[in-house]
Amino acid sequence: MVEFFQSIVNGIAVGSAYTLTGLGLTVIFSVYRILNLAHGEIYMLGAFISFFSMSYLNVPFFVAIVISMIASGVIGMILERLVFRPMKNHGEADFLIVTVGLLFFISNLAMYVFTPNIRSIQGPFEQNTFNFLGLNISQQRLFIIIITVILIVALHYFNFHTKTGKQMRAVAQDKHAAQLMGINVNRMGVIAFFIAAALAAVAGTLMGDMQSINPAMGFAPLLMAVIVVIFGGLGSVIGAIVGGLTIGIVQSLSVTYFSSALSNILLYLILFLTLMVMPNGLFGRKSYE
Amino acid sequence: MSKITSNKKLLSLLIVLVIVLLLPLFINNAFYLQILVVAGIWAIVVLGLDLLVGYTGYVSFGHAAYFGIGGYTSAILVMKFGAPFWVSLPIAAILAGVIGYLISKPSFRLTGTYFAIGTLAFAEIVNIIFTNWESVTGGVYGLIGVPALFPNLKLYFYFVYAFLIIIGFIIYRLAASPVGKALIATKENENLAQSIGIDILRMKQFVFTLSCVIAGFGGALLVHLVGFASPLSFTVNTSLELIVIIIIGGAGTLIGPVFGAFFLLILSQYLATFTELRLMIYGLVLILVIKYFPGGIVGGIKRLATSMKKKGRKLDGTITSAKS
Repeated sequence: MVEFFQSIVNGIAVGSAYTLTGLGLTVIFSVYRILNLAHGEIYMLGAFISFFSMSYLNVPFFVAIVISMIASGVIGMILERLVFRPMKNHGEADFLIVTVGLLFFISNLAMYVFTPNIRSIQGPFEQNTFNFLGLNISQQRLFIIIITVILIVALHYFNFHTKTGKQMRAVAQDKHAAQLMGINVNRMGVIAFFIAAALAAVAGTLMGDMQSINPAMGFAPLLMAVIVVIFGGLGSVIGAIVGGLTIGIVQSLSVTYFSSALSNILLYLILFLTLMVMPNGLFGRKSYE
Repeated sequence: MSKITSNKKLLSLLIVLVIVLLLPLFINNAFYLQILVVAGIWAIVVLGLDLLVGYTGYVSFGHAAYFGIGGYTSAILVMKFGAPFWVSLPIAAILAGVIGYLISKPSFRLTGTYFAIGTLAFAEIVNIIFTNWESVTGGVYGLIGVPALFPNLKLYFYFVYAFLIIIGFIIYRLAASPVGKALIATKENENLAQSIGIDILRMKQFVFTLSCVIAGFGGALLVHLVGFASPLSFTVNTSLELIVIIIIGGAGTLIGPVFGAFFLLILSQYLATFTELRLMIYGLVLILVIKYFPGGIVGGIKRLATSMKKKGRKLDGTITSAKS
């Protein structure tokens, strides 16, 4: 029984990272109506920026995360301006393929520049674990969960209590109407990319601290984040949260009790069945067509 | 299209064909010959896939699965059951087609991004099965020592290119037939196409299945050529590379993806030691092609030709016309 709950706790920690990555996909989707398949590469870059700022600038871990958030956010803004905004008038399939191009470009550029060597981020966390009702939670895992909660609250505040956030929700609901109301849609796109990239950078850094970092690390979490947002419903913040936790827990449990191969099959099966049975996911808005 | 231009086209195509078919007489280097054969196999696969991507506008991120199913099926039939090639190759193609057909049924309830992700999900499952069903697929190491179809590469070359021509001809005829017109209508506006009595679901399923059959056949050819079947040959990356080839060559032009296959495979040999550099270039070219050169290589050539003729015909070759 302890094993079961332990596995759930681990799943929540990993699921938090999926949520952070998935939230980025959802934020971008709400403005651009496109699944950004290059999002995992921002996750990877975020981890590397943290790594380099710690090893070359000698800044502490938490400062490195902030630097990484800002730097990745700026990279996201540049990508929006250079790649995504000019694609606005193209069809969905074209757009999707451009994000694939971006994925190939960034991940292989990183592979070329950083070399495929595996590096590790030296986080400040100690090996000892918290003991809570007989469950062991490592400091890293606890930290991921706490940070995720803080960022979700911040995102919620932004969405519902700031003018820009409200504007962004308006754009998500109806781009043309929002534009007619005088909302600068381009500005919303830039901000969405900044937020998405910053969240991915946090997820990348924290997961990089828990595991290790290399230029190919972005693809697997991207696929997980895609499963999360499709399951939870594209464009829905609550969907990304519920989806992230569900997928994290399902993965953790199935790895514990079956095998990692079966776990992956199960996750992709969830993705496939979600698409077949409820393409809008749990919380996705019905498409208004 | 007037009779004269179509004859001209046919003539130029014939000349290219003759040159290609004479190539093995001049190339004795097994390495280059092998590249040409591999390029021919990829060309066969992308020809089939272009009918889906270019003509219906549905992007599949999962065709490596059917490529792999064909490859593994033929390898297993030959190695474990001692089946002759003329049995294993058709069965490989048919099995890929049957699985593709079964998957196409639910998949076409989706459009756009969702369709692409759905195909990707299925392909990932297939790849996990390849990697983990050790007793049958050999697991991570794959099946090693798959027997070759022919004792020498030149025979292989002619076999593959004969099929490239036959399949190319069939697909070309299909694209020019009412089916092709219906597909284009579907791409332009699905609801409208349906309203004029096109059974779009059946049409899309047919094209998807056909592309899977061809991919399965190509996979079988490839596995016997290289002598092994590994799960690493049929990953998401493979699926994405197929799409890259189609887009860079020119989606919906049929001949374009064939050019694309040759172009990228030969490029990949020059950059064989720099895989990351090659994929980086792919990515960049992909973005630039979509943004600035819709229609890829062939679209570019066509545009050049039309601007020289000053006809100003509208050209197709972009893969989507606002499907949202």
